[in-house]
Amino acid sequence: MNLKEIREILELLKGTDVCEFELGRGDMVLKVRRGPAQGVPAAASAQAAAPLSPAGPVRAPEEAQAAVPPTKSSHKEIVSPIVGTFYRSPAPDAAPFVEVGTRVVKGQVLCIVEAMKIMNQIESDTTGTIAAILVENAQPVAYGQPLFHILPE
Amino acid sequence: MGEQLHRLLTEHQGRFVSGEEIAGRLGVSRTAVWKRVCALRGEGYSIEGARGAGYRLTDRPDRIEAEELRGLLPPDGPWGEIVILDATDSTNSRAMEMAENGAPHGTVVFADSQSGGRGRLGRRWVSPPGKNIHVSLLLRPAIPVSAAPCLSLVAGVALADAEEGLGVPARLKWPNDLYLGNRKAAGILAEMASDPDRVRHVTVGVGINVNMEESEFPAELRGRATSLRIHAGKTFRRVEVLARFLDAFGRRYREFLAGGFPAVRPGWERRDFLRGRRVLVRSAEGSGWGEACGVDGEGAFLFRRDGAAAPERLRSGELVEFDP
Repeated sequence: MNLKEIREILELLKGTDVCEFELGRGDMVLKVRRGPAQGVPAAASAQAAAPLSPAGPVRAPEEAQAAVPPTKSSHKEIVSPIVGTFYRSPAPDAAPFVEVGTRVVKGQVLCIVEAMKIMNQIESDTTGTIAAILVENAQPVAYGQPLFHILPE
Repeated sequence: MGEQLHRLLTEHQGRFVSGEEIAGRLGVSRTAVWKRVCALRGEGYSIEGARGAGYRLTDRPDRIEAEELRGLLPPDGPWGEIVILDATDSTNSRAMEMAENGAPHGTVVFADSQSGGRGRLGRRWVSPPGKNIHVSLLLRPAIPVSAAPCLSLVAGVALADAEEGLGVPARLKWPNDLYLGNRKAAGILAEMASDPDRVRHVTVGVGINVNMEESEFPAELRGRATSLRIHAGKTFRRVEVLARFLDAFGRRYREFLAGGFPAVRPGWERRDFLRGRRVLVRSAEGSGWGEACGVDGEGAFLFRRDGAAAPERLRSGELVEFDP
């Protein structure tokens, strides 16, 4: 990713209602957060009842609700500890470890990130429910890239 | 029960021992001696019996005993408990279970035969009993999670060291397949459990084709897979092959902990099977042909795709094909 590409991405995000954006490629992850600093957490902590912060200037409430998962701040994020390839199941013909909505306990294996033929079992550090799976099977992941959102119990 | 008889016959190093003497030494009847001889034969020992002369041991099965293995290892190595299993689905699965139950660093799990051996992504690894080595090493290294994948290459270098010590020069295909000539003879699959900031345990599973014969490979592997025996034209005692590997791994592991992968890298580079050759790579970033350009200081595979000016670094992916 070079400066020109980053500029293009920022340009693309202008005029959309996306307030958080993340792109992983090879070894690096680009994270973009837009809008007033207190906007997103305020919207999130208010949860579904009032998703738009008073400072949120341009969007209609319905749009904001669609763009920002309302419970975002209460999610725990599971990130990849290594650069590698993300696998949702232990073998190509096996069922995935978890799906969105699966209840998981602390220590339960969520996925495998493979690098140099070391299969790294990524475990949940929380008991809760899988709220989002952020990477597709067999895709490359970067160091620190978010893989799952878990809604703790 | 057969152990005393076995020891007695071994002590005589292939010379006859009379049935009377055996009976006296073991404190049993001559009929009981004969029964024990039959039992040992059933376990694969060749015992010759001659009227008037007694019995002698002519050949023994190529078994691995923890005691003998330990005797062949240097005392300053990292190896602790040695677990020998007759048969298991996968030594890696056993070692991972033991790790979860608190087994210490340096535990070695060996199986004489393995029914559910796995390659990368659940691929099968074929192995009849008594012929090959299936071993898993349980490690608890105090290193960052991001450094752990290098252990995979460290294990490959140790494997090549061991084969070289047996007079069989080997080469390595990234990340850690061992090649004799143009055929694969051993593979490594490692599994790790980690917390976000630290490695809890790593299990390094190794499968080495030792005394397997050409006819014992399934049809689809014939011509592509080999064994030490096929390649060198002689059989090897498995305990010796395993001891050499464990010894080499202990040394390379120490080098790695002290100096990171750069300390082990020369040992990898001088056995690089594919450097400078054209290879077909399949990775999450896409498939394509290009040139193999070696490994970097973090163990990543350097691969210059056709049309690209500079090599890219691959941490994950498969070298599917290569030009001979």
